[in-house]
Amino acid sequence: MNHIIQDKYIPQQLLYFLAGRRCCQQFPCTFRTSEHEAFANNARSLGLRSQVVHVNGNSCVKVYKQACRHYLEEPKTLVLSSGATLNMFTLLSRKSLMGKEDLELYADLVSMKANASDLPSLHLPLPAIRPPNLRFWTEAQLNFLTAFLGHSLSDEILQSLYASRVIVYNAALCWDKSVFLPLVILDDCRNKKSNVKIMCIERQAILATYNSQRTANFFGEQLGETVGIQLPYFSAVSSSTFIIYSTAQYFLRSLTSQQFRNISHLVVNDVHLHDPYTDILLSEIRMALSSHQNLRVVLLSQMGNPKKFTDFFGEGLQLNMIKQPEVAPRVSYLNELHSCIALAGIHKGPDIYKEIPEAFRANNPRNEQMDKCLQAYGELGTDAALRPFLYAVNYDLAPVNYRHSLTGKTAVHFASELNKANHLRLLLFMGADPYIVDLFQQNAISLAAMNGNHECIDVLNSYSLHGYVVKSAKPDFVDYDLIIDIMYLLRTKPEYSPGEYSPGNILIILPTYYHIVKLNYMILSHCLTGSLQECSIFLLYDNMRNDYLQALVNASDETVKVVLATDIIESLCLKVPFKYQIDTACRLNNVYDTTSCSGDDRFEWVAKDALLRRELILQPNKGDVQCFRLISKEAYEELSETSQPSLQTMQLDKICLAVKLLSPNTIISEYLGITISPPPLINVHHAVQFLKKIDVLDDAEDVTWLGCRLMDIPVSCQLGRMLIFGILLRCLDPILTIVSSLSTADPLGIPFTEDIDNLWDRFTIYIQNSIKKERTYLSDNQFSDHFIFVRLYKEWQNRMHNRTPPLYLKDEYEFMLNGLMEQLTSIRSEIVSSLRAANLIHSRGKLSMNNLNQMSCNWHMVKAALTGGMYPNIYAVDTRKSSLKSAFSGNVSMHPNTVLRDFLEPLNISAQSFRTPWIVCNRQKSHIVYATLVVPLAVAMFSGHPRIRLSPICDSEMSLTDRNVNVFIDEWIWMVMSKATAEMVMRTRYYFFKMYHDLLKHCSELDMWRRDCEPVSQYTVLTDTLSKIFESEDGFVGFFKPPPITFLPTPQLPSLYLLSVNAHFSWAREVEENMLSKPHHFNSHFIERQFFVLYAGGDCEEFHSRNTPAFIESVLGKFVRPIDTPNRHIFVILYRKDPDMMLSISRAKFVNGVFMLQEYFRNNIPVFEILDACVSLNVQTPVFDGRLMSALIDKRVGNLIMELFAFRHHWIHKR
Amino acid sequence: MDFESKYCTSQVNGTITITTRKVLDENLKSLLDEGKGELFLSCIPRNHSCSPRWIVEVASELGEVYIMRYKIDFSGNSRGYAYLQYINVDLKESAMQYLPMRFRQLCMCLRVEPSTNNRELVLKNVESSLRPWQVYQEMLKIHPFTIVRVYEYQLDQFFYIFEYRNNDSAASAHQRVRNSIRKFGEHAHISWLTAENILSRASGSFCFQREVSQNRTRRVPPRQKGCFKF
Amino acid sequence: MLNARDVCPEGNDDQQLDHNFKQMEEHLALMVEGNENEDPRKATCEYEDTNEDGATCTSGVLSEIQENFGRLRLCDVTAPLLEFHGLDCLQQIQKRSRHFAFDGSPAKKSRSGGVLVTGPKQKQLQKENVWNRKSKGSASADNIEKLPITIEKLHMIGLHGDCLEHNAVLRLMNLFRSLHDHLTADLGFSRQNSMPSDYLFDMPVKSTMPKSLNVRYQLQVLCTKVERFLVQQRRTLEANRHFDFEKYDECDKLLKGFASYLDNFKLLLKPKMRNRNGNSGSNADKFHTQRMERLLIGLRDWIKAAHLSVHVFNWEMDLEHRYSGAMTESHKSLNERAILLSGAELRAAEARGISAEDLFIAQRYKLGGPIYCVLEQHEFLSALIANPETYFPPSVVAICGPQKLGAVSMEQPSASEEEFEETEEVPSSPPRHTGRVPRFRS
Repeated sequence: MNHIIQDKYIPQQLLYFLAGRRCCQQFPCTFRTSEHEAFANNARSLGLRSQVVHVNGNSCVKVYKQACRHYLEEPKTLVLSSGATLNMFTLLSRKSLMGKEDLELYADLVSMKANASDLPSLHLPLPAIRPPNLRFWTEAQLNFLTAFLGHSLSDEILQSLYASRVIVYNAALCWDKSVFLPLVILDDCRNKKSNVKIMCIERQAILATYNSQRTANFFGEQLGETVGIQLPYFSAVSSSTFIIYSTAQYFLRSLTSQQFRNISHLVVNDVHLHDPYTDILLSEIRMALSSHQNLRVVLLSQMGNPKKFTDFFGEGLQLNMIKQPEVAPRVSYLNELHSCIALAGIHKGPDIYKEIPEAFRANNPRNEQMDKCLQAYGELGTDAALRPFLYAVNYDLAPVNYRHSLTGKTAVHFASELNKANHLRLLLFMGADPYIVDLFQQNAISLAAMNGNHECIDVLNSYSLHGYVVKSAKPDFVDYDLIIDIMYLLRTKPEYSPGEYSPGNILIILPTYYHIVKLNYMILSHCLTGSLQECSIFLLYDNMRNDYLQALVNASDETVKVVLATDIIESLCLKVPFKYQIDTACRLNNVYDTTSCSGDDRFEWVAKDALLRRELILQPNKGDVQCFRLISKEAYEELSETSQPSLQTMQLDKICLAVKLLSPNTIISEYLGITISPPPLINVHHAVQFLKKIDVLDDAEDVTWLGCRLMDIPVSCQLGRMLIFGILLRCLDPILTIVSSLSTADPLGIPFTEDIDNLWDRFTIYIQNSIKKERTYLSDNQFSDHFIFVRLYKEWQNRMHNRTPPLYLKDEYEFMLNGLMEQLTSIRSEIVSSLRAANLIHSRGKLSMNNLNQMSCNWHMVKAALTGGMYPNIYAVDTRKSSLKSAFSGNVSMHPNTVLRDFLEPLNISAQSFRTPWIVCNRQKSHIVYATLVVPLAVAMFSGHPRIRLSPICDSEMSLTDRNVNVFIDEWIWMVMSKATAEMVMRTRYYFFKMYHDLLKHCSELDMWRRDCEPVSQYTVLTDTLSKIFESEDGFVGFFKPPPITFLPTPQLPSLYLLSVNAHFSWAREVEENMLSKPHHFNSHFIERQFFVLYAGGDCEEFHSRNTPAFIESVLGKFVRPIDTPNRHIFVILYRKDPDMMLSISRAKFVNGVFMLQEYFRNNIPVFEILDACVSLNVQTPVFDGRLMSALIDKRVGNLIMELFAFRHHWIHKR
Repeated sequence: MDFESKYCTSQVNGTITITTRKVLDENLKSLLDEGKGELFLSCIPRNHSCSPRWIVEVASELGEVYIMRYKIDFSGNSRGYAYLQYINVDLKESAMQYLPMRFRQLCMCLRVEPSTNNRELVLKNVESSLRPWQVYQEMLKIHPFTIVRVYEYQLDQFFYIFEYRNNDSAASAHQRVRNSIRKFGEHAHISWLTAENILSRASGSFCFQREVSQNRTRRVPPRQKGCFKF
Repeated sequence: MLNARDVCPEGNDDQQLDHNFKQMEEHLALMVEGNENEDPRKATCEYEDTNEDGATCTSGVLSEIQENFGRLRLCDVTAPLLEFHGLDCLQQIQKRSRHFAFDGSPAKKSRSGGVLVTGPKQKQLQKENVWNRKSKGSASADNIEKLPITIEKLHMIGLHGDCLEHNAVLRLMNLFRSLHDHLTADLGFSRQNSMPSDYLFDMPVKSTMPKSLNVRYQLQVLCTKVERFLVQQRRTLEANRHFDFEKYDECDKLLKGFASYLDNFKLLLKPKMRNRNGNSGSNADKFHTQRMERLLIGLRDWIKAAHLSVHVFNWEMDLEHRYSGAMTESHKSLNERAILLSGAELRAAEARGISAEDLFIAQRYKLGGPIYCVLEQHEFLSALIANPETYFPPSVVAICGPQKLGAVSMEQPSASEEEFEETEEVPSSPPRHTGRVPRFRS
């Protein structure tokens, strides 16, 4: 038998493996040592590689193909520094730690599952259900009710509610269903004296807050009386509450203990949007309907055909109120927009920067290399010669239209000159522009014609025949310039607004908060320079603070409002009439990709139904309205009718956890399979496998203690785990910063050419280099992108001087930084309060904020926490093959964003400076975007399953005589270390994970963490020692000492920066200050501007601190007062000598008779720039001679200076 | 009379309040609101065996309860303590005798003590650029208090003791001040006033205080130094 | 329009300023005088004497408060009170507490001392503590001599330096775990070949080992499982009996041997196994455990041998007798494909060198870095050049394709021919275009 096994069976198995999809395979442990040899020999003859690994105490053969990315060419060594060894030894020799061997923690022996009774549940005490004893409606309330669009149908609605348990009420947003319906139901129950308690489920907390507030206002009460609210951080209900607003996610959490008791009606809003938690709630409701006979369910939707919901429930009635509107708004698409704008001949933007010579190209290695790439292609023209250029475009963010520094030729020029039709097509696909003219006034088409290259001419012909098809339309990039153009069209060219001229409110729908902030600055700068009429800007986005919404609701009708919103606008029933809508028609979707095994942010077009809903926000019946869609007509035609429910595309980690807590005994994939939008099985499988890997679920798919704690923390499971490690290693503050930075947009991300405005995109390479340089500076030789987050946040905080950010503007980058940091701080404080709620942070004792931040200044501890938290996203550099190895088989490259790699730098070059082979990172698709180099010890200590023991994972039996031992921590992490080291590390690791387990299991027992009792005080010693150990390891490996990270323990209130800036510069404020009855009397086109220059001794800060307003008035007042009228604005430009700089530009005005300077911009701009401009424009130059006050300067010069301030680019003008 | 018509239950964030529905006269109400005769119940078990409603039902065997504030954590479990007040203030003493006994009969070992009604907060390490009157105004914006005592312990270094109407409002003030503590400088710190703090006692006995009537305050000559009170 | 020059001739700014300042000073002086005159007349009330050793700033605070009096809303009855205690006030407290000391209020004294007097002392104490701790730390560090850490030292801290498990019960548990793994091992693993080998694609493993430290219980479970396993193997074997008797006989002997071993093994169940917290007590127990380990290892070997032989026998019979013609065909073609692939693997095993052309480009144009970068992404870039259509959405590919009907253009589709003729001489004038180019965030 044995020879059959060795000669026939094993070779055949290897052949099967070769023909299959796997890149490596571990064979069962049943094979014996003799067969292991047979495997090794046969594998070698087939060109495969083999290895004997130890898993669970069994030795198995593993076979790898050559391309396998799990195989380490050689084991990574782990050698401890003497300091670390000593500290570890001291730690282990502590009598108190040794104690009795306690076997509690050993994984496979004791169940680690969290008991169902221990699961943290939300016990929301809903008061008992009873009939309402309300007064009858007052006159005002009745009027309010009749104002609802659905009022005439209320009888019909009630009839259908009696008739069936489920009704789907389908009507447009303006019907305001989620406020109206509860009132109708309540009214009916009052008349019938029947029991009532209505739960209204919204998609987001802000919607619940807004709607509950309005309903409470209807009763003229505070929240918590008739109308209640239940949200994670704000709840108010009482025994007289009949209507309660909540979110789907929060309501689901309370379901486990509450079921559907004490609820008579359940109103679920926005079911058509298929929010994942709403979808899960629907299946819970379907299950509940069988046991709760009297539950009434009302689903509110705005979709074409709500049949799918009644089908899902198998019962119910539809009330469909959506009809084709009689009047549709005028909709224009990209094609028309472009021609319209071209015809209108808009003159916008700063003249001064258009003249700038392309001075930023020279002496820059990256430009030289790009030139070389083009040159090589131009001279050789082969595939191989094109590849470096393609690489630069595809992997290094170089613009595809890169022009050679000397000849001005682009790659397309060369391709058509050399008659490479296939190259030409590829370049055109990639977005190259064949009409660019080189220095010899030739473009690609003329070159092809000159050389008679027919193939290329064919290609270019068909390209040009597509004529006015706009090629710029991709969902990936928002064309801010186009939006500004449309604004100009609407605000400065009355002939394009239909009918008689009346300024209307503008709604601009953008994909994300990041886009909102960027556009906000652009609009502000155009308004402040006076080229756009003044308006008031408002922002609406997901997770915003209520203040933003209230600002818009309370704004007076007089001002022209420009509202920048994300798709949350589809659920907000505002009373603001909009006349124009600019819809970017794209959205950001996080899509789980099963091939790269990661969730990727993808920009996509929204579906047709969403566009229709947005169109209806304009309320076409109310008059002439117009809608601009930034999508070409053709692309619009191809859109799908409805978008895919997010359950089917998203990363499912949190969803799986939520499902598991809802029904602990169902298999997750089964549960999700019967929801209304069942996700693909493979996605569920991946999510479950991933959760098992990071110890959120155990092998039997039960929730572990970690899972219990992560449930209520509003970040993904991976990031939640990172927070836990931050708590364990007591460096919470930096970890918090990193986690919240990872969940917001990065202010220092390296942009594509397309991300840069038209004004500056010639300088893409230069801007990218500057940002890269800034990143390198911030990372301070720590080989870490995560360190940049921490540094950036700290520097920003220090610049604030503990105050709210200043209200003047500097440049776009500063504005965006403040805006993004505002979001970051709010996410940060949300995370902190959720950690408090989960009892992971206590107000006093060992888990108090102060205690958890004792190690926050030690970057080496933060790195250790990152390693544990980011597992399994760990990569190792394999120098021999110069490739990255990891748990994922996909090919991975380093994105230019990360500081570990320079532009156009191959891995083997970058790896030369690496201190260790281990990289912890975040991926986007197959790019490593943020990475940190970590010490091998951190990998050995924190990666792998929390409860592995040494003897089953090392080959000690095989190497009895050896000093060293091979350790297999994971399916691919393979280390070799001395036996003593292995034992000490694993023992320390054991203590660490004991602490991990204790924390997760017992964190809600407050007393245990207050007193200095045994295990808890041991943990302090443990982390202290770990800190020393990692410090000496860091030094041993050769990391530089990081600059100390100072940390501020006090929580900070999110500052509402954008809100205050927009209020500061809003037109409404202007109107208020001037006490004008109507703004129509004048608009900014009749406003004249006058400019003074004023000498300030030092910089602005000094100037304002040294001089009181009274002094400034005494200097300026006498000039300003006589000539300041509502139609004439006076501006003051501050400057200084040596170096000659313009410092700021402010508006001088009198508010209620008091003189004040309202600073618009503050920056340092060298005076020579304006002098040059004056010469070129042939205008008399102003005098900057250091006298206190100079006379009026030429208006044109003043405007130029204003533009210099407003449109400055941070990275280009950085000195 | 059933429970619902007698008492009104409401929950705001971490507090479940059960209040009487009876209309009381203003003086008594303000007296009660200041925390007169308040009892402190502790050792309430964390599970749901001891609901607020149950406690009030037991307590009202003695007399009508004015208000009961029962503290819960985020998952809705008791945090182990509650505050109780009777409409009749004089019931406090007898309640301290009767209630523990009654609870023990019902197999619940709740402790009943007089409430300290701690309603004073200390604000320390305020940035020196902020003057006392500015602090006064800022704090007023955050939460209304009844009295503030300012102590100068070194030249131009102050600390402030704010007294609120009752413990409940002091607690919410504490929460809100902590959220916006950075207004008062980088190292500012708010905390409850503990009994050991000598100055709270000193202010009563030794402190040299001077009444300055309102019409005079405007013209106190700059030479005068010392303490004053509005 | 007003020109500033009319108001203020050039060069006179400074004069103008001086003038303004003078005016202001006069104004101020007037105000001050007025106050001084008013004060004595209107101050009708008498003030108590105050200590003159008070802080100078108190008056500053007071005047500030007066300045901002209007903003304090003191007229309001409901406005909160403000009580102010100046520095002298505190000093007085200190003085008085010192003064009252002989009256016998030690508590107060100590308390005030704790707060106000011994601040520096406390600091000193803290420093001492820190120093003590340090010296203690260094002392303990001295106790342990410097590296290397020897086996003896490891023994001191309860480690052995051989990476073996020294706890008998845990060792047994390891064995149990391993045995369970062997029992559930799936030798028909080739069907996993259709999935990638990342952990995300792994099938969930049913772990059947009970979670318990009770050796006796573990043994019972194991025995029943092994018996069931034996029965299963026997069934498989019997199914192949008629194909090849020789091999059948060999396997049959194996299984019989296995069965008899198992019977011996069961005898061990009779004596009670006791263990407390993983430490077996008496010597007898220890001996017992060792014997049990030996037996378990033996059992594992039997399982391995039996499982493998029976499975391979069955597999071979499948291949030879049970496969249909089509199945054998596909099996053959699969093998051929695999052998081709193995050729590719062998070629890949030799380190891929840099091609001559790449080398030339790298040297001639000094593009070493980019060329090596290209090598890292060689597959993708080559594929991109070879078949660009597969990497772009159809709407983009259409740009260079023949014209669609939907395209906005005034010409007939046939006109493209004429267009082509024209382009020979004159390039068609470029249509207006926007600065934007399509690009996908990759």
